[in-house]
Amino acid sequence: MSRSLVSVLRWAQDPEHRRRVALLAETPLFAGMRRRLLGRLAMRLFEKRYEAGEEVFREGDPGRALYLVAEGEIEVVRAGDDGGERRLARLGEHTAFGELALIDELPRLATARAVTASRLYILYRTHFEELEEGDPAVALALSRNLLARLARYVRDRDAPPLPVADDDGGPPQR
Amino acid sequence: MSAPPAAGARPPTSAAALGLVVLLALVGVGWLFRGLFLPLLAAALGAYFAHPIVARAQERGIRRSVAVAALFVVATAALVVTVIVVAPAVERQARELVREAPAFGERLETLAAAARRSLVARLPWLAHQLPELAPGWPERLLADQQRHAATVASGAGTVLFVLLLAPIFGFFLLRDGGRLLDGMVRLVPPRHIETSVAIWCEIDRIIGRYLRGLVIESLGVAVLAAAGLWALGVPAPMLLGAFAGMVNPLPYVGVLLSLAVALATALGAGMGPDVLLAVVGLFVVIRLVDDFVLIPLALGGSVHLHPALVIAAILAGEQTLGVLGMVLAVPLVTVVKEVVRLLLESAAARRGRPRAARATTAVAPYLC
Repeated sequence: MSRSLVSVLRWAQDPEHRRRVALLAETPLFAGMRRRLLGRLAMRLFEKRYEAGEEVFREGDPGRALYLVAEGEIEVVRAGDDGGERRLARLGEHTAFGELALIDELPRLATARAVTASRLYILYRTHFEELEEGDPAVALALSRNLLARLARYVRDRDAPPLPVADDDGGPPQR
Repeated sequence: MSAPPAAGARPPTSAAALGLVVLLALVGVGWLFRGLFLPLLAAALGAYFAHPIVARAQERGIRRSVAVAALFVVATAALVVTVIVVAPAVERQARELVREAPAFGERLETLAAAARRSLVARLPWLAHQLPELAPGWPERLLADQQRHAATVASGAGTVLFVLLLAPIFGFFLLRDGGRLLDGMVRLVPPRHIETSVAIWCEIDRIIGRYLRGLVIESLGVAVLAAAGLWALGVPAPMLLGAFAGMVNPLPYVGVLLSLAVALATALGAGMGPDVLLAVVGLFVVIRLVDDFVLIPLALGGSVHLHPALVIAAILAGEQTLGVLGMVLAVPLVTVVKEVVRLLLESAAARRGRPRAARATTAVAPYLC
């Protein structure tokens, strides 16, 4: 009896939701957030697939969303003074990018492009703000994580050569 | 210098042509199935109201289909209980009102004639402006309304059609809405995904908040009006409260309509000027509670429009879709305003205008 109840309860669980929550939990930007809040965030994610070479966003575009890499690899590049491109970061699974869109409405500082076929989750800024309004703990946890990232970048910025981050929450690769 | 188009990207002209073809196809399909517009609209509204409950269950990891099925079971049970508990009281009040209607009419006729005589005695020039009402006008007015009611009843088939189909459509919209959206997100070219997601989220946020807020606000107004009228001893308070709640979504007009009907009922019941004044006072208090408590709580900042634009939108809505248009006008204009803002922002970014702002932003190089 109890075994069948357990199997019914297990069937009632959404496996896709579980995968999304697991991805969020392993993303450093969302470290310290309660599972219930991650569940709420997971509900608001849009999934989008990109072919290798496709642009996710371009430098100068309005920043309106945060991206999470579920599968594949993304490179972040910036136009150089010589007209060429300078690679700033190469991001793998369980990483977030475009995080400044959660803070301000200024244009993107860099271009993000899929290196391999990738699956990304998109979190729209307003959805995130609604979550923050409902629970200040979200704002606090995210602000702490963003500040930690900013502090690390500021510390490493002047250290030659320019860091190429793997963005896994650990120190940038040089 | 603009970047070369991504691999596989269509040139802008062919993309625009494809968009136009898709739009025309959608309009054509919409025209073919126009008979389903009302049940689909009712289903969409129902889905909007129910979505937050389903979302709560999903946040806890429950499958959407399970949450939707459970919600429908609970909603059906709640509807049955409400009908069993509330319907007899409403029916009793309606019967009383119908039984008392002739007496109400006589009193209203006497009161109107007395008011006219008094006014003309004081201001004789009004005699031509205020024609004497023919005897028995309240009965004729009521008969007109009954004829109108008969017309409405003749459309009962349509109402039944909507009532039967709307829950079915609502169930599938609620269950599969997310999948439909995922399908659309897959179809949008990567270059436009962020703007498309932003547009969708803003439409969803504005309409969802507005409609849910409107229902909560109307329920609040209905309860306050029913309780207040009951306390004042006005007949059929539940019916009058329900009417106040139903017409409440009509901006500016709703409160005047419900006040007029409540005053006419009190007058017809032979209540004195003290009660009539109290009824006016009650609706003023309800209006204030609505403006300062219910609307901020229920609707929040979902709609930011200039009052002149609100009035223009309501008038245009009334011209095109009648009462439904009046209710939908404000959120629709807000949606259009927001969509235009997002599209202009994207267009400006493509033209490279905001680059000056970027150049002055002192942020570490690989944050984006």
